[in-house]
Amino acid sequence: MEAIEYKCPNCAADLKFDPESQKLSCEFCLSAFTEEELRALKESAGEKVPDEAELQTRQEFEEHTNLYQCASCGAQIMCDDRQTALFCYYCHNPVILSGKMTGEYKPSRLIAFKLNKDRALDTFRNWVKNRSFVPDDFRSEQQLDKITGLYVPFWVADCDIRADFSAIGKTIRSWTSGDYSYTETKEYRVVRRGMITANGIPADGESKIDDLLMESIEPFNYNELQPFSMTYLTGFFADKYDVDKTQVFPRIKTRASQAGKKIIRDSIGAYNTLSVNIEQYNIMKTDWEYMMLPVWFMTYNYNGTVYEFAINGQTGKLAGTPPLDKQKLRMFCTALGIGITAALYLLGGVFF
Amino acid sequence: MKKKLLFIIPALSLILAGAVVFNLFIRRGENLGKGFDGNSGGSCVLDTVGMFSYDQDILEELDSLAKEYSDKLDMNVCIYLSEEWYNSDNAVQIFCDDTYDEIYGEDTDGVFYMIDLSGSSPARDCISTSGKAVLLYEKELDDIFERINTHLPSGGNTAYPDDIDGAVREFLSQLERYGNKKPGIFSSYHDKSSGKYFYYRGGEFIVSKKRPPVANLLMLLITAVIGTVTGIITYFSIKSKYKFKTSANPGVYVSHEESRLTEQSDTFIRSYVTKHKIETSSSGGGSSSGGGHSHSGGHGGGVHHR
Repeated sequence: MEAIEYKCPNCAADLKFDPESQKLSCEFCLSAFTEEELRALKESAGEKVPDEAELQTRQEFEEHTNLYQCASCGAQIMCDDRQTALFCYYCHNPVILSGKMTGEYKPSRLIAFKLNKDRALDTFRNWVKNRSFVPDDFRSEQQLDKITGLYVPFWVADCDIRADFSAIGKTIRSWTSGDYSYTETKEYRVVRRGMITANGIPADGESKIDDLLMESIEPFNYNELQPFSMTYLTGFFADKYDVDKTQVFPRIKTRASQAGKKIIRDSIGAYNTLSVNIEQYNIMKTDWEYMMLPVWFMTYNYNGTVYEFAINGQTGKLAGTPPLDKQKLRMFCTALGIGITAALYLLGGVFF
Repeated sequence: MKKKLLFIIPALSLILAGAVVFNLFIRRGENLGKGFDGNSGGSCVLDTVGMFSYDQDILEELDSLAKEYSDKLDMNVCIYLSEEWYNSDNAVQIFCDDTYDEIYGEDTDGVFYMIDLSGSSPARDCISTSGKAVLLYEKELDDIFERINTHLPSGGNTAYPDDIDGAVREFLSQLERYGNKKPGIFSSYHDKSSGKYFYYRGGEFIVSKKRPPVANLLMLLITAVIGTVTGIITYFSIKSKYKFKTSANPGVYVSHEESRLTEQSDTFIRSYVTKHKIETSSSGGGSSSGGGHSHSGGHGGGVHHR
């Protein structure tokens, strides 16, 4: 009899039978499925055969995309062969041409830049305007010139999440009568079960860029996704992913669970206390898409720390950590302390 | 605006700090104290009630004694026997302060002691001090009154010449007792109504509208602590704003059309009521009030009820 081997629908690792849960579980991403669920998923998936147009785009990508590598930080940058990348977007050191791209790095779709460089810089200037204690050269034109239009590789997942929630909710009402205070407590068993669908949860495939930074400029409007074409790369750079979908799955799982939790918690009424007995969010199915999303990216090296800034190239949402010139802040606070001391001393002469 | 503050606050601080340095080390307050003119002839016992009409000898003796103590203590000494009735302590104090200023002049060194012989109860005896007498006797007034009281009848009872004689002698002896003590360098007195400070600086007695150096340093220390704490709080408050703020919300990716809850139930299990007796507590309080008056001469002093 032929043994059937099942692959994890989420991360493609081998599934093993877990006697305790009586399910086939993935040791890598900790997903668990019954055999029936796996069969149903396999039947619904089907095999996708690339069409001719897809093959042509893939060939065009391989022929016209140059790959550059930064000798300093190792970042790999793609751009079309009509332009030359000179500096690394991350560490601003020179990059060298290292070859052509292979078709597996061609994204299926992308969102084109809507925000041009001037508008991106205006957004940045407005953000930094009210931050008085950043280092002086942080606002300099030389620094602003480092902003780079970058297509960041993203793994975008559509997930079906099975939610299982059970808790004891309590409502409490108090009143007084005569010399006594009364408290009435009512207990309810709160149960929520169901399937939650989250579409388009993104996770960037670049290990250099901070994950939280990319999450902070979300969301992107997927209605503006376009099939990939080399045309969109002109004038911009694209990053080659170095984190595959298997590696980003734990992040997707965490975010999908957070999304599921929000839906479940929002469906629960106003209890005074809630004691949770069971709260599980299992991802039953994940559909992946590899795409590129537009980001204006800038780094600033200050006192040995690299500060990263990103602006959503579609919506203009900005995220980053403002660098703090502690010397400047110390001087200001010292002056403020002296001023308050002197003012109070002089006022003291009037009032005391 | 924030960027302007970055320059305005340090500039303002510099100006204020300069003003403090000027006030602390350069500006010296004018000494308003007029001291004692050396004329003990002005010191006296004023018998406005005719207590000693039949005992002029005693009055003359007491008067001489006042002059003698005036010489010893280098200050004016006036004992005033009054039968005027005053409805408040404040009114008595004002009368004594103003009468002293009228007789001897503002900020001269001296004491004015009024014995209330109005026969009212309570009797309001009063001591007004001026110049260096403020520093010498201010803290000792309770003790002085207590000792004098042993010679005087309680309010509402008739006082006799012997009582007054005893009281005046006791008063003068107490003046001498405390008058020989040298106030410490931290001793100072502030008359809030005139805004004047009384203190010693380098062995010289000063009456001035400027705070004494010790009080200045104490004030500077207190304000420096407040300024330092404010500076530290500001530092950490601003520093906390230079942190990464994430605003990721995975909830936006949920498809409400495709999601469905197969079970959504809130089943009542049980209810129970607890009962507690309310503890009662009582509280009390009090009130106080004060008053003051305005006169140009700086004084110390107090009123005592008999």
